[in-house]
Amino acid sequence: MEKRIVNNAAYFALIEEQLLLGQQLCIPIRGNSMLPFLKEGDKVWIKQVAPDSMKVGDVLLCCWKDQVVLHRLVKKKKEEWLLAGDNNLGQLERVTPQQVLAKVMAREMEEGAQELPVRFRVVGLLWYYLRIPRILINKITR
Amino acid sequence: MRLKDGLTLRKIGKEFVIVQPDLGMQDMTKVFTLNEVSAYLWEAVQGKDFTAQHWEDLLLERYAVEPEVAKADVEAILVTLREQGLIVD
Repeated sequence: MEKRIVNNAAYFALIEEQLLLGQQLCIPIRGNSMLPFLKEGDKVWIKQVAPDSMKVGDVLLCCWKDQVVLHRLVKKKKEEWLLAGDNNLGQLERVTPQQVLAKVMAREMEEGAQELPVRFRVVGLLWYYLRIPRILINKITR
Repeated sequence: MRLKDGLTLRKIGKEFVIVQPDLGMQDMTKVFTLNEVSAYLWEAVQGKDFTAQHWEDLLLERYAVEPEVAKADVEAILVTLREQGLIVD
């Protein structure tokens, strides 16, 4: 069977449909916006969960503007959540809880699915809080 | 032969995609898609036993093709579906 690239909109329409059916899905990471924690080609398991159970530091799949992004929840207010890619120094995505499709539950490794440890969330958040020094270091080292 | 149990064909936009919702956990890093002709054949035999001849007859009925072309097309589709474990004997 030849390898084809499925239209993104169609793919995520399918993902959303299957998530609403309660499925846990393994999807590939595209791009490097989540470096150093997730990179292009990594695979993660996602599932739709209640908004209350999503914590700051979790990595979420969300609709944002006309895209679907998989980024880290860095701030959670009642009707406005802020997301940031771990490798993005400037961009913040503002979404409503209704725009969140799923949470990353596990990472697919060679030996199978491995639930993300607490440190993934904690270290990821720490990485986000270090954005200012990272921006400075980036400017200095350019 | 028959289609593997638990598979469903979903039309998403212009694509026909095979999903397996019974599992609860699905690997979506590679999704199987069918073209319109294959999707037609697939839907015609969902939940039933069928033969290659059955599919050939469906193609001849629906499309203006020569029998040899129908036979070759069905063989090609069956090879691909078997390779991916989507058909059981």
